[in-house]
Amino acid sequence: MTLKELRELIELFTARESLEELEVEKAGVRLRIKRASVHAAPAPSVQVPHAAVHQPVSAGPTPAPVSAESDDLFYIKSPMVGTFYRSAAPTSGPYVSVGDIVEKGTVLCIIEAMKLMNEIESEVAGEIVSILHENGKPVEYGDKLFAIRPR
Amino acid sequence: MDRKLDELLFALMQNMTITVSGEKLARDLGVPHSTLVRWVEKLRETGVEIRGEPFTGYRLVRLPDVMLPQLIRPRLRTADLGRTLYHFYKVDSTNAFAARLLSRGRKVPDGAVIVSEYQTAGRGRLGRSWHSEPESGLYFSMILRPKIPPSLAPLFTLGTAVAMHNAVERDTRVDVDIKWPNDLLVGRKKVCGILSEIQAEVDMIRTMIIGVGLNVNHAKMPAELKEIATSLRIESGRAQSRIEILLEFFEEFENLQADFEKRGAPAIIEKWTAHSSFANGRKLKISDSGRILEGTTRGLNRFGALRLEQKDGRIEEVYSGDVVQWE
Repeated sequence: MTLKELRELIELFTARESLEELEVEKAGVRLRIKRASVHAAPAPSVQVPHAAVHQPVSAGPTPAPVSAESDDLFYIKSPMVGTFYRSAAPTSGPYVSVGDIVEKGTVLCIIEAMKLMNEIESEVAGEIVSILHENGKPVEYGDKLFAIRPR
Repeated sequence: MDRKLDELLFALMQNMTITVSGEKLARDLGVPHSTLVRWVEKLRETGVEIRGEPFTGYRLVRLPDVMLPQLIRPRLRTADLGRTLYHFYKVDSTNAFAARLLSRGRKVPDGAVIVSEYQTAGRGRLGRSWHSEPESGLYFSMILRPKIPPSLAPLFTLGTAVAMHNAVERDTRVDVDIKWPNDLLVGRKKVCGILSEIQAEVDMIRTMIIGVGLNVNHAKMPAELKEIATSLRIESGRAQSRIEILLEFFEEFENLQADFEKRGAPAIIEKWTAHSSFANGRKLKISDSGRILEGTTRGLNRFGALRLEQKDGRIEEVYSGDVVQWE
């Protein structure tokens, strides 16, 4: 399983709030993702237990364990109540996706309230590890939007 | 910015009844004759009717209704708003130009305004387009730097609706309503739309761009819009002055801004509530990211969100979405 596939699985899991647990087995690698708690905070948290990844497929660099709860991640939070948009218009592509490298000041998303579009910029340079809300859904003040591994 | 074209047009306007030689115009504007000839062609392309040839001289056929800074500046009654003006005959969108201006890192003063006769890609929310017609609409964007957190920014867009409501009513005597959050209606038809953007730190706004599109002198609306949109000319039966409305708006907005700095959110909420028939007791439906909310309006909260009483008596505070149906 490549790092890219791993990321996509986590992103898929994060976006579907109805999913409690996800288990995938491919080419000898078994991955289990489980929500920390059923009644956790509105922002879904993602945990990938260390032990779940049995063996790296290739001899290349081992992917670092991904965990949205880990302390070395930086969270971009919503500065206002509104609607979360990942792109400028429904027809255009998202500003960023999981795995993208962003700079300080890169636009990550828009929070819209009362026809006011707030472009949310990254406060750090690093890699987008997970996107914690679904496009077009409401967010509360202080909700975690993105987890970024600072560079 | 079309400053050179503005200078030429202003020179022609000052000599309305006579034909001015190309040589003299070129000399007055400090450019070679060949440049002047090019500028005249450019002005003609924007719809300004100019009679004459390079060697006979030029004359305006009629006084064009153009938002010339030379006509606006001497009449400003504001401290900051509109003191810096960027005027275009044509631009993609005034909001997009404002964003480019800021991203280039240029020092743009507070209260700078971009105004265009025509927008080739006028924007609405979520990439929707805004119908623009030359010499008919009032299309402008303001650049502001209010010292407030992002969560209070929507109050400024409600305030823009209030200021435009007052400006239009005073100048044209047309009855205007405000539909939450910031559309202006005449009857049930939209006459003005407002779209704002902010760039912000976590706790403080860096810059705010407020874009306004007002339908002023459209003789009729395009078929696909005429059931839902109108113009002030259609409603009042006569052409209206875009410059007068803009000047009135600037003053209203700056006063409202001063009141907001003194009293905070109530300065805007109170006026919005007083001028909008949607504020209280209105049964309506809101479409918000795929869901439909239905209820009766019960005022605004202190952020400007619409308080909607549901069937079960619960109050939902609505922060985004479109009012799609109302009684």
